[in-house]
Amino acid sequence: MEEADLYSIEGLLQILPDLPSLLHHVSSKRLKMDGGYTELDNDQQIEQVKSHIQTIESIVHKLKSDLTEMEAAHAKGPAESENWRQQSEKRSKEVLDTWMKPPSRGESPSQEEPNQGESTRRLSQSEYQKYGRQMIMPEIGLEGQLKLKKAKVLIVGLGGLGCPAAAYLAGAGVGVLGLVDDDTVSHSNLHRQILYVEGGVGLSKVGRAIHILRHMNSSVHYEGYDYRLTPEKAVDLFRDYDLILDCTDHPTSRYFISDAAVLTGKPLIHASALRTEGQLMVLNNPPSREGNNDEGYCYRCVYPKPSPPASVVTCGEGGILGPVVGVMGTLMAMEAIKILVPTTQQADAQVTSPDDHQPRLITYSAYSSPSFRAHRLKGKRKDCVACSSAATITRESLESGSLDYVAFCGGRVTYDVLKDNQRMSARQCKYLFDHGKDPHALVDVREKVQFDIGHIDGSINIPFSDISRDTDASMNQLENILSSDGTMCSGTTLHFICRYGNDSQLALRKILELPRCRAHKDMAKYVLCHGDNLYIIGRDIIGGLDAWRREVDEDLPDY
Amino acid sequence: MSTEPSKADVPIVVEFTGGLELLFSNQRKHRLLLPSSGEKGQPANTAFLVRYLCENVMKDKRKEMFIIDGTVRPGILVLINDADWELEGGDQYELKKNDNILFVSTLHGG
Ligand SMILES: [Zn+2]
Repeated sequence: MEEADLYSIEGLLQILPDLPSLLHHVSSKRLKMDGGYTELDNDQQIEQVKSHIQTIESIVHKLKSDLTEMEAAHAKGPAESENWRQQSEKRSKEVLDTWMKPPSRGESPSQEEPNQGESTRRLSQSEYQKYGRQMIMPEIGLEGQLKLKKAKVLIVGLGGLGCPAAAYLAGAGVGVLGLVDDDTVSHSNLHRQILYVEGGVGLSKVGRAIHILRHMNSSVHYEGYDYRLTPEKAVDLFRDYDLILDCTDHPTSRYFISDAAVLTGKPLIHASALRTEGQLMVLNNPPSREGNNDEGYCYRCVYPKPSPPASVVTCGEGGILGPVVGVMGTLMAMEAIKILVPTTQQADAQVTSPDDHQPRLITYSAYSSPSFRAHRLKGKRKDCVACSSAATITRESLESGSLDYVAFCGGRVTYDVLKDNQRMSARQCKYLFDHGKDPHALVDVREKVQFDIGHIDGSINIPFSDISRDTDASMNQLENILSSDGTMCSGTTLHFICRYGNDSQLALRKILELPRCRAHKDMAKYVLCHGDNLYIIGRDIIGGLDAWRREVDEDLPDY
Repeated sequence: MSTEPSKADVPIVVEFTGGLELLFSNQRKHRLLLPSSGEKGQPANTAFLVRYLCENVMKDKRKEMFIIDGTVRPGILVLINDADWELEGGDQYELKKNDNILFVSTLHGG
């Protein structure tokens, strides 16, 4: 009965009025799919059909139990039968009353109630109920809510920032929420990307996000863009929105999103997060090139030159704590509300001071004290190539693709730093360990915290950060470990492994660059000299532990 | 860092964030006594501080992760008492007692 109760009110309300058109819609989509046509929100449609079936099943279940009760009552004679009928009617009326209550009706924007007749309502009854708690804030009020309802907000990137930002903006009742991402949900997303569940792994993020957001607030119109945003597409897309949130994770997109926001005159909320820290800036607000050219500044004003690629760390490499990126995404939603609903004079006097319009960088550092800080920025650069009067970046340069953002940001770091004969597969390595007659040692260059999560038996941990910091000292450390182990004597061949086979290559190269590492004539190999001891430089394991897990030992943690 | 603080040394706090702390012994906050003038008598400004940090505080050998072409690399903001150093005279800003200098590396993750 628990299931029937759940669905009878919530589920039926949402589904029943639209059931015929929905079924029609889904079946016509099926036809298209059979013809090879792929639709943006297939996943979502399938999910919906499943939930419809569940709903219908629960209705049938409830009817069946009603029938059983009815039959039992009738069998006991007319008095009992009448008693049951009255009770049942009362129950049904209660249920129906609940269904007919205003919040359950007219939830979609197309059915909103017009402001006419004896009613002075400017929102539907359900909207008053949904947004009441924020509307009684002087910062919002009815006028603010109407502004939110008219607003179109675009979120680029549906990761750790985009998920909470989207949830709060949907909850706040923006009119249109656009969502851009080409990615699919993976298990490693779930600790921070709060719109996704385990059952959604492998499915489109845009599809899954809209599915859950519709359940949160069906009054919002959701637009999904299930592709990777490019400079060519950005200008056209941004034009349809009032405000842009940059929730992406790469310098390249950071730059072209800022450029496109400047070109289309849209304010841009920019945030980022890594490990235990986050950063936030409100850019192009007020927009440049709208007469008033001094105030708004852009990403290029703050960072005219991109960071060198080697210093760019992703969440996959550096790690990220869920609440850290969640805090930043939540702050983005708040900044969005502040831009969409500028505070009135009255509220202004209470909450703002003249200093508030100073350009600021907000930083959050979970393990520092204080955790939140606001830093004054210089703001607009007089010679900014994107947003100053001397700007050289144009719509044409973006749309033609003549601006190479990837090259500007230094391209991708390539990891093919070793020759083929300096590398081997995980399987080959395993064979050497099992059958090789000379001693071999496997050096795992992941950071200790990763090594502790799981490693190959007998491997030795020398973190890549130690090797980078001081290669020579890290090799002394390795030698100490080897010489303390009786079996790992002089003459041992050293092989290197990391998580995916990138850092281990860089580590091996750094070791080869050491002065005490030299070519050994007789062995035709590089050897690492340590006093009287010699260690032979072996190979790097292609694909790292990820490959080892696939090729050799599936029990290694897939973190 | 000088072991015997002279009267002229300038006590300052230097902080690293956005991953830069990993280059500085994984320590975010450093209390330093900066010599009041450089090797050749130049003033103790932020340009000198950056060199001083690189030579005396940074143990990591990847100097290019902190300075390129003699100044902090692109992608690092320098904040003097929580204000962009470009508001304060950039690398010519002369450090004063108890100044807080924060180096922030921009993050890209999301
Ligand atoms: Zn600019």
